[in-house]
Amino acid sequence: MNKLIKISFLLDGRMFSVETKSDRRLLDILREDAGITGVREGCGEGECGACSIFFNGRLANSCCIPAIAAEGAEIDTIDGFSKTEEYSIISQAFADAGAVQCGFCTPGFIMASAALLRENPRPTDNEIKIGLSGNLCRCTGYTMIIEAVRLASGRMARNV
Amino acid sequence: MSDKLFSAGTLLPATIEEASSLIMQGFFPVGGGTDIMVRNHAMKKTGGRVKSPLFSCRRIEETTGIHTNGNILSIGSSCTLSSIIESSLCPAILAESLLSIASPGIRNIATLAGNICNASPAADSLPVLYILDAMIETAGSSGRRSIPVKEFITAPGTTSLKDDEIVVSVSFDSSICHDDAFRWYFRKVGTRAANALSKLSIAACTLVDNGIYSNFRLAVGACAPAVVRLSEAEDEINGKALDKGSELAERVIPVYTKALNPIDDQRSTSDYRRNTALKLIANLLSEGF
Ligand SMILES: Cc1cc2nc3c(=O)[nH]c(=O)nc-3n(C[C@H](O)[C@H](O)[C@H](O)COP(=O)(O)OP(=O)(O)OC[C@H]3O[C@@H](n4cnc5c(N)ncnc54)[C@H](O)[C@@H]3O)c2cc1C
Ligand code: FES
Ligand code: FES
Repeated sequence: MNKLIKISFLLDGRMFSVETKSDRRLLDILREDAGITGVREGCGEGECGACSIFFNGRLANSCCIPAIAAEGAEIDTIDGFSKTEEYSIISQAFADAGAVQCGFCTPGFIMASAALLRENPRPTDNEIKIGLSGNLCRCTGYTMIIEAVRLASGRMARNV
Repeated sequence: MSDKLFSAGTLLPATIEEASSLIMQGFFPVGGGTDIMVRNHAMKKTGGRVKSPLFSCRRIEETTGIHTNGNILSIGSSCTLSSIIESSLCPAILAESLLSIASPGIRNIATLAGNICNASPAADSLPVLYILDAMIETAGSSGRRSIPVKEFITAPGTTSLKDDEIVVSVSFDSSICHDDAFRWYFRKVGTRAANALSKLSIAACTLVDNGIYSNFRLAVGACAPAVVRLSEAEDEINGKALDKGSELAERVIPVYTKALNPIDDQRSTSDYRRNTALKLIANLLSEGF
């Protein structure tokens, strides 16, 4: 009974279609069918944020999203986002603050930071902690990541 | 069912009738998927039963949006936790409890209906929904029902949802929350700030007129198989003075002690849960709202 369905959605600005099962994880569709490996699988349980994407413009964990929910949605990944000015500022801030070690968690943190700064361009440290509360990093210990978001926030303010 | 490819539209029904028919064919309704997808992923590893295939109710008009009709606030079952928190119609006490759930990326997709249907004793929306006397509106081929939340949840993980029914919306009288005399309290005790399920949680609200309690309500989550709300204790408090809080605490703590029956699990111990819950209730009453 678990037939294939045809799902179409806007992926990084282009229409993307796939035949898949209704309960396939969007994470798997992005990595295996669309070949976007910057969307990472850490825990597969909604806890680490390595699989973060923008789902209709909002931060979301793609390991928790079933294919059927993606039909007609607008999905942006680190792949498309990396071509934006916003990305350049945030990723440069991560590099400058020493917020990247092994780099596994970085795409997820960059997406979460971007989502936070869009909603709140001048976050306090506590607001940064809340904004990044769904992302885990096993290497850096978070202080440098918080510093990176502060840096990015300041540089974005100067840019406008 | 034929072998040909399904159109995605079939699994995005626009009517209750179509949704009911999908359930009867073996499809499961999915909200945000944050519970189902994580569970399914774990089950695939252990060989347990997965919920599959899935359909979504989000194109059924009645499951979308947050509306008021007189004093009644109605939240569609397809609304995400974030959209509810951000709605100007959402009372602060409900927003606070929903903000305590998971993390931004989960709240942006998870639904209130999903949190209720999980029927977990630790579901963080439940204590607030219990004290607001929320009703769960369901619909299926046999018609519509409106069920008080405490009857909707029948046991841990189990609801009174019939086989062919979906949850359409959650509603409650929000007028009390807009009263100048309204005071509220919500406290979740977890291991850390984000992505931690509750060890226990307490929601309470009351009206305070000239220093006197009326309409006092209090619910405790994750300290028994179901959320605990005790009319015996609430009756004891109503009509009494706020500044007699310590005496009130002495009177009602034994009543709550009898009713709390928490479990030991990986998140906490039974003793810690009971003692912390009782201490929080005693503090709340002694200090007043
Ligand atoms: C990392 C992580 C952290 C979490 N933290 C918390 C937390 O702090 N507090 C907490 O309470 N929960 C937490 N949860 C649990 C879960 O995310 C929430 O319960 C969430 O609200 C579930 O909503 P959903 O829409 O994603 O549910 P789904 O997974 O879509 O559905 C859950 C259940 O509800 C049923 N259902 C959904 N919609 C309907 C409908 N309209 N009609 C009939 N049945 C329906 C589904 O069939 C399924 O059985 C967490 C989960 C994760 C992965
Ligand atoms: S892989 Fe999705 S949150 Fe960890
Ligand atoms: S840099 Fe290694 S997990 Fe964050």
